Amino acid sequence: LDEMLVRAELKPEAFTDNINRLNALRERVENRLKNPLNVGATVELVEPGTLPRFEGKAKRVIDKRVY
Amino acid sequence: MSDHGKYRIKQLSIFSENRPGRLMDIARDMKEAQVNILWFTIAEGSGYGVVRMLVDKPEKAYEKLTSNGHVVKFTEVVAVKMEDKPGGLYDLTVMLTDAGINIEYAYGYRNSPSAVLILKVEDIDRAIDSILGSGRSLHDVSHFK
Repeated sequence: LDEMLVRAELKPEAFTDNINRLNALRERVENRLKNPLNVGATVELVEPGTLPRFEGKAKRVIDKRVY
Repeated sequence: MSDHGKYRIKQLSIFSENRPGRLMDIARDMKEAQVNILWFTIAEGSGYGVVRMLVDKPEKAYEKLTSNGHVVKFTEVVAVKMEDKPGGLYDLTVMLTDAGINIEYAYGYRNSPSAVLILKVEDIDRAIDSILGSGRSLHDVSHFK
């Protein structure tokens, strides 16, 4: 089965010192993605502003599957 | 009790991705802001960490870190003065258990000749009342300046 890694920037207002709550947030996003995408998605929380921004056409998906 | 505020210690909690250099970035900010780190730990999440720090100038540290794009929050904790001898932690936890106070997390360090126990609890004011009411002492914010 295909697996997808989704990097999501954490909004400062969503940050909590409570690790359990942060993990629950990550899992909630994973579950929300599972149904519409129909592939397993692992969500990685990253710091705001760290994902690359593109001018012009965005390349937001990197396919690393080997056929 | 009206003086709860002085016992609410501002701990910095910083979101940090789990990759090389993140702690270095935080440490550089503290060096540049001339903030002294009194204690710190990294709580491990899933692919990330939360750096928790007690510093001598929390507001200055907060300002520096946020201006450099870090995600930071103040978390209020209490600092219990402990005798540095066997059984002190047990006696305290018995009292907290009897008072129905749940500890979210805790850490301690020696502050010779005594020790300090830092507690993160849900209801900080109730914890302050219970600890002081039991005859124990708390460090106030001036202890961390």
